[in-house]
Amino acid sequence: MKAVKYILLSYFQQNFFGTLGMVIALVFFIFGNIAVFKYGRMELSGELISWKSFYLGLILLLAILSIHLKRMVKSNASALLPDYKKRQSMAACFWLLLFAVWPVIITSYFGFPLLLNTAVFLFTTAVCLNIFFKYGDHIIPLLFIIWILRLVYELAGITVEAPLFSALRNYWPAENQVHFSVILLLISFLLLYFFVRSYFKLSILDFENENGDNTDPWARDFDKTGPILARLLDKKLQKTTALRKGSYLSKLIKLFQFSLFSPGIHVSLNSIHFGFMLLYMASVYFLLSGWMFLASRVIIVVLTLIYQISAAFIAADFLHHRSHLSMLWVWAGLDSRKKFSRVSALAYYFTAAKQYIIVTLSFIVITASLNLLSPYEMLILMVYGLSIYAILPSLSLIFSSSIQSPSAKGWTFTNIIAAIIMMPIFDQLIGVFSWPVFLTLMIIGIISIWRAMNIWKHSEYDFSGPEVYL
Amino acid sequence: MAQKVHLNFQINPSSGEPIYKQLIEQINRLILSGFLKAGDGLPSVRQAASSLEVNPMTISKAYSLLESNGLLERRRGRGMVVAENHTKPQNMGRRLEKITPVLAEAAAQARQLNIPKKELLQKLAELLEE
Amino acid sequence: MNNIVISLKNLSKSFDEKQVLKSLDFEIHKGMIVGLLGKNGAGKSTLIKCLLGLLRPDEGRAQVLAEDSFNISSAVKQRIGYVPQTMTGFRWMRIETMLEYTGSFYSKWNEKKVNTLLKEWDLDPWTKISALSEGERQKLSIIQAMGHEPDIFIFDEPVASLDPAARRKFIKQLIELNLDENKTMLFSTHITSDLERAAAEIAFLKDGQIALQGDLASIKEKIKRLHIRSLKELPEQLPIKNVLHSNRNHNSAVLTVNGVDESDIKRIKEQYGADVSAENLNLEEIFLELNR
Repeated sequence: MKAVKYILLSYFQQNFFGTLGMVIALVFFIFGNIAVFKYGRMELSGELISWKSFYLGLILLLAILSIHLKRMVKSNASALLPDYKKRQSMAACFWLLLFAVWPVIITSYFGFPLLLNTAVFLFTTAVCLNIFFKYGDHIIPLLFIIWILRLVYELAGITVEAPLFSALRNYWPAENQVHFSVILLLISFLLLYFFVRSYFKLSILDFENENGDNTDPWARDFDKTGPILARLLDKKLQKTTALRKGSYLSKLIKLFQFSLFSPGIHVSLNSIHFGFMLLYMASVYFLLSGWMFLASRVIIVVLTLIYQISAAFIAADFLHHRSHLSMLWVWAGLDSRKKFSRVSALAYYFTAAKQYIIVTLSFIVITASLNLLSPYEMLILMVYGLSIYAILPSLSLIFSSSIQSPSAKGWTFTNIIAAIIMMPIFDQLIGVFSWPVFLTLMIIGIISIWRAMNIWKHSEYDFSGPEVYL
Repeated sequence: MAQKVHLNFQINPSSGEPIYKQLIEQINRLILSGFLKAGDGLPSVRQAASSLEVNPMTISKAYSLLESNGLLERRRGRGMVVAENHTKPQNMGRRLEKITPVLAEAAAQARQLNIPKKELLQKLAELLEE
Repeated sequence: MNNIVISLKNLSKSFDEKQVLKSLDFEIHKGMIVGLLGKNGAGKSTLIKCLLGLLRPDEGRAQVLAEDSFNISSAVKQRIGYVPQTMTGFRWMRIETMLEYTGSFYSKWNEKKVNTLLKEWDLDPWTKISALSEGERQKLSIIQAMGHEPDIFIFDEPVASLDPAARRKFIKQLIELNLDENKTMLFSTHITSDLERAAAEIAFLKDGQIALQGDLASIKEKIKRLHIRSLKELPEQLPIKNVLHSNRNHNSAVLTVNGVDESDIKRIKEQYGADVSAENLNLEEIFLELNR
């Protein structure tokens, strides 16, 4: 039991800033949302029955869990700890029980609207994914916040009307929703195929560092599961070639391509998320009628996207992806592994960006295709979540004690952009515009710019030493 | 009753000569010279391995070989002790046998360097005086 | 009674095009301390990882206590202590939490012993792992592997970052363990002096195979360097058996042999009026000779 406790604890530790950010963000948003009263009411209720969403969510979750289990600690030694997997699974289940199952039951029982349930479901998924894949961690704060906020609203009997929502609803006839869902379903299957395909492309080499050491015992499990599909692999994609020539732009493009199609579970999962997101956005706007309406909304969302991508770029934590980083360097034709140029940073961020487009999006899409959420609700979730996500990097920067941390660089820009873009978008989409939040973000932004300026001057980072990826 | 003697083995693990051989050599000398008498106890394998910081199997091997040679014997409750019939310091013949290799080497070198017998024996006498 | 603890048969492992292990055979018996020697890149870590099921071999079979390495049972895992080359740990944890965490996986954990070792190795349990030096981390890895009192120890370059004093302490620990509890150990390193103290058997890994394995003392007795000085010109090929290496220069030659044949020596002496002396080689020199 102690082992389970420690696994859970390490999870929290790993997400210290996430947790801290979550708490602080929660405070801000509650505080900020008091301002909502001034703007009116907000209504986000869905149509489906609570229990259905709960069960669907659970089934989906179990399906994912059964695909594979990932070792939490990238340490060879953990492979030899007796019953490690079992305990890790137990930790995941505990987490589920602690944070997900009971809220879902309660909300279902009390008949709280779908959004709440979905949020909880996504939260659950994210957590388990985090424990099992280590990608859902960023989603937890956002979902938790949404959940609490919605709960608060529901309990207080508050409904908030968002200008865009009503507009969207007017432009979203029921019959279109069906088409949309079908299309999304097809797209998601296609993407799932890519995902599976690239997943099974994985070879042990993806997890080897420069010394040829296998840094991820999880890859061992892959050995057992991938024989059939592995034959479908396109070996070429597995090989990376050095790009010595070419302009920065071409290198960037190559890197982007690489990041979309490269093998390696982290990166391919991200590709899929990214793909999901892009396609989703495209689908939504394709289906919406009305040019002017479309244009303005596209602009808003694309801006958000850009903002998020840039935030994500810079929000990457290098040390988690040493092996991929070195591959990227090779691709970018960079000579010294230790030298860290801005181009390589940007290039790396392309890849990392996808990680931060997070599991939320793919699950949002999946839930959409299964008709659990309506598209506009998903949109809200996405923007809401992504914006909240912006706070975390800022906090991380402030609390980051290591001047050497490359991630500190990037957190800078997040905040400026966040402050500028986020509030108006919130206002447009959700009807939440609060000065306190805005000001806080500006302050955080300024502090982080100042800090980052110092860090930006450093061009060399020490990437030596193994990093535990929890 | 013979006491357990405190022995100071000097082992060089990084020499070309296996440790067990070095040990045998040293124990032999100690017995030959009379420092170790019949009935004297030797440190246990454990003690020796621990104090010399070497693999215990090397100690065992040395002891076993010495036991089979008749130099040591195993006594219940006491471990390895010097065997009775090797109490007397080795006779001259045996001792000379021990030193023969060294002398042979000296002789070989003397031949190579073309040193006549007289000069060599003189030098040896000088050295013995020291 | 089967006292083979570790068994590798016909093991092959390649990484991309490079074949690291080639049809390798290797066995370790109970209670032995075996030193695994090899150049950097020879495949020592690969061998160890295949042995422990951390890597899957392309061919062949690896077994620990008669169980397939890739599927070691929980019960057998309880009996294995592994010190990897690099220790990755929860950086936020303190030493004591790390040890507590590790200990929680095992049915028996000797806390007293762990605390004694911590004291002996000068580690403050309250220190965070992220604050430890390379050497300290290595010491911690070792302690981690000892706490559950395994029967089998696998050390992959465990002392690379330790100073001579710490290394001695470690060797002493090993010897004590082997003495008291007859533990089986596999110790991969390139510090030959440590092996000369602690190991009973040496295995040389070269070109993907175990080029030589045997009792350390026997190896030292067999592998010798012969110095031949003769009055006549020596032929290209000297009629000596088991030559590992030879370097001839008109009237003199230096040969490394694996097993000195007295009759051969006598013949050389007579035929060429040569002076032949045999030089004992220590493990480092033997290692160099084998890797030439």
